[in-house]
Amino acid sequence: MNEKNTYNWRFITMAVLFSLFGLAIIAQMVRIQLTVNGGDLPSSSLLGQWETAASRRGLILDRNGHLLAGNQTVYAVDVNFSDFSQPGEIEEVKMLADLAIEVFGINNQYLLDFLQREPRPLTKNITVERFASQEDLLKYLALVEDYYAGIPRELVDGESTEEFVISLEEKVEVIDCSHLIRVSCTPHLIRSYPEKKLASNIIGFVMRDTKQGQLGIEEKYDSTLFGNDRTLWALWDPHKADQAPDPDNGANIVLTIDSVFQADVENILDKTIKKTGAVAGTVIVMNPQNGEILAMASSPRADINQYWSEEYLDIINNHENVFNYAIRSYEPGSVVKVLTMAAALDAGVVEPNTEFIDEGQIEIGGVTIKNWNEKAWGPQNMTSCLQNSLNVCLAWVATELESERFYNYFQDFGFGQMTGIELSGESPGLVKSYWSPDYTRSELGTNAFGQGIEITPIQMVKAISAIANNGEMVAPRIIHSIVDDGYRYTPPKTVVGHPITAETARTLTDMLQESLQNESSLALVPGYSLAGKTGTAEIYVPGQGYKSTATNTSFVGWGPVDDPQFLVYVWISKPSASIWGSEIAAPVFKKVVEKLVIHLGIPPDAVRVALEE
Amino acid sequence: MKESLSQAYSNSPRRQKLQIIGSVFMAIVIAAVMLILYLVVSARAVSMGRQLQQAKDQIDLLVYQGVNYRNQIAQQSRFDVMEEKAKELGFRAPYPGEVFYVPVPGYKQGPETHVEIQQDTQTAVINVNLLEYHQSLIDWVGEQMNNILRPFEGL
Repeated sequence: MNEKNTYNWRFITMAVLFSLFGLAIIAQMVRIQLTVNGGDLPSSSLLGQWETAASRRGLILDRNGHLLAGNQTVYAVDVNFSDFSQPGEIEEVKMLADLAIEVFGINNQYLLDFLQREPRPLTKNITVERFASQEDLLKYLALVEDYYAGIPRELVDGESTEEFVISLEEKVEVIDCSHLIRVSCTPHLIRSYPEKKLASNIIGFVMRDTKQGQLGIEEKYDSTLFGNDRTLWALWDPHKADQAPDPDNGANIVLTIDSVFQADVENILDKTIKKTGAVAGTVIVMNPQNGEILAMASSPRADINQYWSEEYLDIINNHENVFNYAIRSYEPGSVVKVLTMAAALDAGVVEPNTEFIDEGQIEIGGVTIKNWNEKAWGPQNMTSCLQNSLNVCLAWVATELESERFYNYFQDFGFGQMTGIELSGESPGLVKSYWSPDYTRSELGTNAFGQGIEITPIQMVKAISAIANNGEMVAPRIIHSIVDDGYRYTPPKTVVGHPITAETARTLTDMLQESLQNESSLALVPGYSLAGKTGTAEIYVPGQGYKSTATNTSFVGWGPVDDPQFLVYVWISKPSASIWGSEIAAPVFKKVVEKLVIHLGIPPDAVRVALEE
Repeated sequence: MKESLSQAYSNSPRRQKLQIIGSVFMAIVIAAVMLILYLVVSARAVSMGRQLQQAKDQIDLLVYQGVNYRNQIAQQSRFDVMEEKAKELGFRAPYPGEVFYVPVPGYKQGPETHVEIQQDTQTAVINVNLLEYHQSLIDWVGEQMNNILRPFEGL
């Protein structure tokens, strides 16, 4: 019996011990759930946080991979103004605000009022700067840490006397502010344009706040370039770590331009505008065989890193489409004579040797048209008509064509329609329909030499490509490739029509080559066979009519004529040094071609022929 | 006689209690083993999850650093900077008359500028579809048992 009791006691003891152990575990679980802090467990702040994947906007590169538009890390800097009550803490918060005003140059009145008033409890985090650069943030943190370390600052008139310089490593390393209680900094990416003004008229820019592309490639390809900053509620639960957002980078765009040549062309254009007292201008260089734009300079240009600067207000707001003169329409003047002659030759109404007696004026639709020097030039053929840029002769040629054929040819050349170049804000130009009620016959005469119609330089380049390229008109393009996630898309060459025959194109090219040589033009480049035509157009002033003192000077040319590798269009607006295209625009063509032949490795004709043999 | 001995042995109060205790202990041991295994698997899952979260943070950090490096390279190789350096070194742009063209037998210039891209992009893949994330303990035990028994299949 004693033995039985002993066993019972042992069993009971064991059972009690195991029960206590089990109860302890259960009690601990209940305690955790019911404790004061236990209520916080399901709170959202402990379950996860909003996380944004660092997605970058696609890069814009030139044809050699040189970066034109990239990204840059900046920081949103927050200062915690809550949870203070002691005098020392109030002083601390005021100092953080004062330093932020000084370092970040805060001039937003609302934020200034807030930061400069007495700190109030219950105020939460305040973002003192949304786009703090690496330099500014490091400077701010250094000053904050000096303050905490009790290091006094040397100030002169309230300004710091220290020059703050950071090393290359510091420019690259991502800054961590987690060691500071009241300051936090969150990195994010913004657009950066390392070449500043270079090709800015092509690229456009991205608004900082909305991250939307504006103008140029940035606007046209906004959805392609856009890096989707995926923001998701990422759970702390490690079992759900795979739900954290992945970056969604934008596609990279490779342009057809060569940044070195683009810089050369911009340099030539800027110097010309300065030297001639012009107000604006553009130079387009295209390969007429495939439509690739090799350079597209426009002046004035803006530093698109500082697009908000007052200095660039007119350019950025694109008043009257001035952001890129290459896609802005204007009355081009005599360069259009090339196309009038092309139409007439193609239609068979004239031949190069067709004779025309220039009497100095011609009346069409009740309007008298005169030559640029208001003189009679006597017997002429079609080549000399072009060489001497005779308005009367070309107006007569247009009347020989008659309105329907004349405007049909202009339509075939693409006037009044956008070229489709991959740039935002392209103007379609303005060419009246000959059947419209407000059309008068006199316009046939004036349109023939480029007055009364509006055409963009890029439209002219496209139309002239038909003459340079044996009748085959190509669409100009500035996108070489789009590269996304390891895949590349290269838009093909697009032939957009054959407005004239190959024979007409060759005949006209010969005529223009001959006229350029006879003229001893300032556009000629020794050793190279070139064809081209100047243009001088008076500018229409509302209420005053056409003013001969303000002109648009232009030049279009291409070469080598037997195997055209380049087509250059120049437009210089309102030069004061001279009003003539032959004196202002033609030398620009020459300078551009001199750079171009070296850049593309095009030898002089004699050398090229010898090499080919 | 044999049955009575067996019956006497099993009916002995001491033996009966030992059987009960043995069964309870066995159940506890099995439960403990199962719990330990579950904890080990859970701990591994948590550890992997944390590593994944840290890896993603590191990726973000590297993206920011990569962007900064690229930006700095672009700043240092800006056209005006390079032009200035070239001038300092005594270089200048050539004029057309100064360029000599030499025929190179067999060399043919390509018609197009070739844009180099990596066709087979090497992407760092983090496998988030780990079994530890969605495999129950029973499944895991079953899998382990299968692994143990696999050599004996077909015998």
